[in-house]
Amino acid sequence: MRIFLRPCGTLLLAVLPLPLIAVMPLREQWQAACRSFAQGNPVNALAAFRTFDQWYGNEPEIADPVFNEIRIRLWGLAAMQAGELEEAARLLERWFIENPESERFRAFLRFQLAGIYQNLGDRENTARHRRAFLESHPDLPESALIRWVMADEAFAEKDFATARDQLLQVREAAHLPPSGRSLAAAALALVELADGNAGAALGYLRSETEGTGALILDCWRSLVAPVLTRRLLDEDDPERAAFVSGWFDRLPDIGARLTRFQQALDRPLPGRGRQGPSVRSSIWNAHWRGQLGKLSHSLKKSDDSLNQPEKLYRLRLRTLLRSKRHGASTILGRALFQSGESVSAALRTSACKAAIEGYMNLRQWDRAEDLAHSFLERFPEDPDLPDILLLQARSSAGRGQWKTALDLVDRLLASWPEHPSRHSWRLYQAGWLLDMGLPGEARQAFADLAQSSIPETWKPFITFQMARCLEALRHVDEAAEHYRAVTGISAAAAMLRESAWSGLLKIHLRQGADAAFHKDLAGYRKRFPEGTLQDTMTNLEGSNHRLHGRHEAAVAAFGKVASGTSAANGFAREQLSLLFREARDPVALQRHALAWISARSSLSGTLSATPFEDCRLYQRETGKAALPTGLLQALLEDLDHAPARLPATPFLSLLGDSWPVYRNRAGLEEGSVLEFAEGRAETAFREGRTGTAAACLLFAAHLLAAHGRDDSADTRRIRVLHSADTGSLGREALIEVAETAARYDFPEATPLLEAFLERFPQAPGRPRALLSLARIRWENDRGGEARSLLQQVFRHWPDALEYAPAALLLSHWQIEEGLPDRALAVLDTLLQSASLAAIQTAEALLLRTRADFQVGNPDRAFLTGIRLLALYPDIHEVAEPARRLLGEKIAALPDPGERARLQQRFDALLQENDSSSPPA
Amino acid sequence: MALSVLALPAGADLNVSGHTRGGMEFTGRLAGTGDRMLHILPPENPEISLLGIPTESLESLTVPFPDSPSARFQDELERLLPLLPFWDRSSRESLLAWADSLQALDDWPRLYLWTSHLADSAPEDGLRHRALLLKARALYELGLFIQLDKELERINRAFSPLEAPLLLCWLNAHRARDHGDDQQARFWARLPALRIPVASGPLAEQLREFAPSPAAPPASPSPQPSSIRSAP
Repeated sequence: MRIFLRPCGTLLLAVLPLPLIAVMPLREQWQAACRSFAQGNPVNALAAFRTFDQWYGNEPEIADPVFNEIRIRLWGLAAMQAGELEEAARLLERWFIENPESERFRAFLRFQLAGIYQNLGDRENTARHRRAFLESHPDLPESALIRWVMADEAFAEKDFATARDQLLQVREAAHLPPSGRSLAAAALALVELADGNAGAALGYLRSETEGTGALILDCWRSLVAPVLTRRLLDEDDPERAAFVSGWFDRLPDIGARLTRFQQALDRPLPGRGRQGPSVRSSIWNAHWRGQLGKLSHSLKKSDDSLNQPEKLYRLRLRTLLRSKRHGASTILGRALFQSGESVSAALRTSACKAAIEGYMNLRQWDRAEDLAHSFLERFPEDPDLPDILLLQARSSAGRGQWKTALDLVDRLLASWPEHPSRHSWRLYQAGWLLDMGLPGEARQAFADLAQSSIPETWKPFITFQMARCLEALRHVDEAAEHYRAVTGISAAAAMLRESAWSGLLKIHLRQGADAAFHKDLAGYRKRFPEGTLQDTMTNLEGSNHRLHGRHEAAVAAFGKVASGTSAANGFAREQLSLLFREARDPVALQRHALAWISARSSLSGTLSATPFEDCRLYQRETGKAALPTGLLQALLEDLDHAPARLPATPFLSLLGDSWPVYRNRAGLEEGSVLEFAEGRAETAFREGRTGTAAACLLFAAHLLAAHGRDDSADTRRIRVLHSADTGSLGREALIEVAETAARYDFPEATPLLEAFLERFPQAPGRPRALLSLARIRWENDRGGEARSLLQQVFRHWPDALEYAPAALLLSHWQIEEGLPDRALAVLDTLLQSASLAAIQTAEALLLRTRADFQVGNPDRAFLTGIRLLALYPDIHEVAEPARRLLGEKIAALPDPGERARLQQRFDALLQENDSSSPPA
Repeated sequence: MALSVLALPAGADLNVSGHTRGGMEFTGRLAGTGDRMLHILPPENPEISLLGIPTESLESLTVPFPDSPSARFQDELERLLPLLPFWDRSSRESLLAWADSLQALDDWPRLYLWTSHLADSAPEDGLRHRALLLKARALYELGLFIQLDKELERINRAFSPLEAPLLLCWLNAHRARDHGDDQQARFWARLPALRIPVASGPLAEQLREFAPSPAAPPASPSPQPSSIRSAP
């Protein structure tokens, strides 16, 4: 910092007394010196002071202490202003020696002398005078300026602690104007940014939100915002980065605000010193201007280009995505994409990518794909085309259109075989093969990738994926080896290693290997005492205890997770419920259920139906009503005002089981539970609470259906479909209404099912919705999409009721579409399932027979067909087509010997079936 | 050029000035318009003589607007409506600013009247678009939605979403919501808060309330001066 000298001296003269009359003989020479000084001509003044000293310096009159004080002071100041700093320092030092008691001008001259030494590079004397000033005049405003200069110097030497300390004292200095406080806050922010503390920098910048300080800090925020946003993103603090990105502004607007700030500096500062307000204002304003320029320069130098609108928009898009503001990223991305010539091609592409990613994160696959299509059509020559194609592929994979996704990546690899991202494309492809239920192909793809020139850091992840493939292929020991290998790679990401431990423990659990489970669980806990999967592991521990009949230990493990707030909490609660049911302990079951229901406000999403079912069980076992009055009232309140959070049908069914008791407890009018539900629905419809109305009507439908009044039940459901705002329906209600629409072929079925899948990605009713939607797609000649939807059920819900129907339908459609290989893979997996009903096994065998004929494996086809007829001759809807098929195929055999042999066996089997009783 | 001096009663409260194609300058109080003539009372002798200027000879007309136009002024102004194509740019700007202020008074019919004429006669794109937007706002408030949608289609062609004025965003958001297109309504309502710089003002506030975005993060735990000072 350069001390602002010239105007101070000029202004200072205005308050000085005139020279003494006693030196009149020397008057002309003296007056010439004083005049030049007063007129702002320090060079002439200095020459005149020197001549005066040369001629009259030894005159006795000059030695008069009063006159000499003035002479040395003005001469020193003139030398200072003329740039003769050494002479100035000598004279002003002399002034201090000759006037040890003079208080007048002392602070001012000390301040100037410190500046002179600073400009001479004399650090020792600079420090001496600054120290003396701060000690003697701590309350003068110039103390703040001295501290600021010291902070500047410390900052230049990267001594951020000193810079911070000095600026904090500046900020607290008395008489500091608002502009000074704001600038100090800006400078502190700069220090913190330079010291790598982006969060602290943000704290200073948002310290003043109103008044003059805020006005001035405003332009500062805009200038610093791009750098700060980037830092916060680097520090993985996207929330604050998003906040700071709200300060982005265009450079011309920031410039206009800087000008306004400079104009604000011209306001006079209320002064207290002898120099008067104007002198001090000049010093301060000069200081602020210098600081302003300096801060501005420092920031712009840090990354000037960041303030360009294109870069700001790109940074904002990145921030929106990182802070999970996906809706906002789709809006801004689309706006930029649609802005034609207003934005560059590069920004347009970035915006399109951000919007597609936003839609994908919102699971709005249609919109993501539409946007990708639009881009590909409009800009087929864009250099970023591969990125868009990959996003399109990811979007297709996200909605289960695996073939499209794989084809797109094949297209990418064929068109850009040397693209730097080619390995990551193949990584996606391999992952999708695994997700679509082709672990063999996936394993091969991962193995091929491992042999490529991939970065070393990818290898743990590929090993982990190989383990998943091997597990799916039932090569369990090999899978465990791979998982274990990942746990031992210290360079691998912690989350990946934790997941590998989890994979290992799940294998032990599946194999019932209790000792190995405990050993590896201890190993995990030792390495990850604060691991993010701790609760998941404790749930696995609980499952292991349950498997080995250790009820108390299992309850303790699940209880530990259930009392927490992690995402694993729901599973633990469900398991506790199972344990108490198994133990036939209705009291514990009720206690657990009531605690679960009472905690509903702290749980995300819709409350599970399980605690209500547990309460019903308790009621049946004990004959007592499970819900206490207070909780009952609260739940009825939720039914009216937060129906989406409550599983209404299980709740109302619980009430229905002990209706007279609950009706009394809640003080309700006479009438059945059906009348109560329908009355509540009517009131809710009248008051516009369609969510409540829908919940009550659907319960009524459930009750009517249970009494065999299916048509009456459907009229309630259809009323919900046409009268309620389906967007506000809860999870169970939405799927029920959607399925009703599908059953009646209403056009609303598709959007409702899609809305359900979109809104409730984790819902247990998802397989039902997928199955219904797949049927609609198939009927609309969209076979590929239909199969993709069933693949999801087949892959992710092996325990669902819809698993076997989906697998049978899927393989049936695969055979119809000439994909018997895929059908056989599905059927092989299905036939290994332990929970197949006899008819499902028979259907699977019939389908396998057909597929085997299609792939040219007649031996196995005949064997399977004959096995089917042997095992299930009485399941006519399957046995009849099987008989026809085998008959046709035998008749068509070209080899007469073979034909005769098989015909004989077939006839014998038919005869045997006719004469024997049905198999068990 | 034919200028005529007529004897008509004075009654106007509106001063105008301008010049003719022939280069003649004129100034005076508006006395009336009609029969393709502009009648003004020159300041020299306002009680007796009237200057009649054929409208086909007009080159430009300056209409100074008072800070708070009186009701009478506003009524008189309507007499100049046929001469709007001759108004100079600053007069048209003043007219638009005055029309803008009619929003606060809920005077939608008058806003519609002036902005529709102004939009048809303004040669400058900027002024025309601003007039069209105000006209669209008036149409919205008057419930003339078919006409409004046509106008919006026309205005939307002139602006990219990135440059769309705040009022256009507001109108688009409301119309999208009226049409049941919630996604498009959200798009227009939230866009101004995502552009650079972030829009501010009452209209921006209304849009924020229309489609609220996630709240700002909690206050940063900025170090307090005392804690820094006491740090070792």
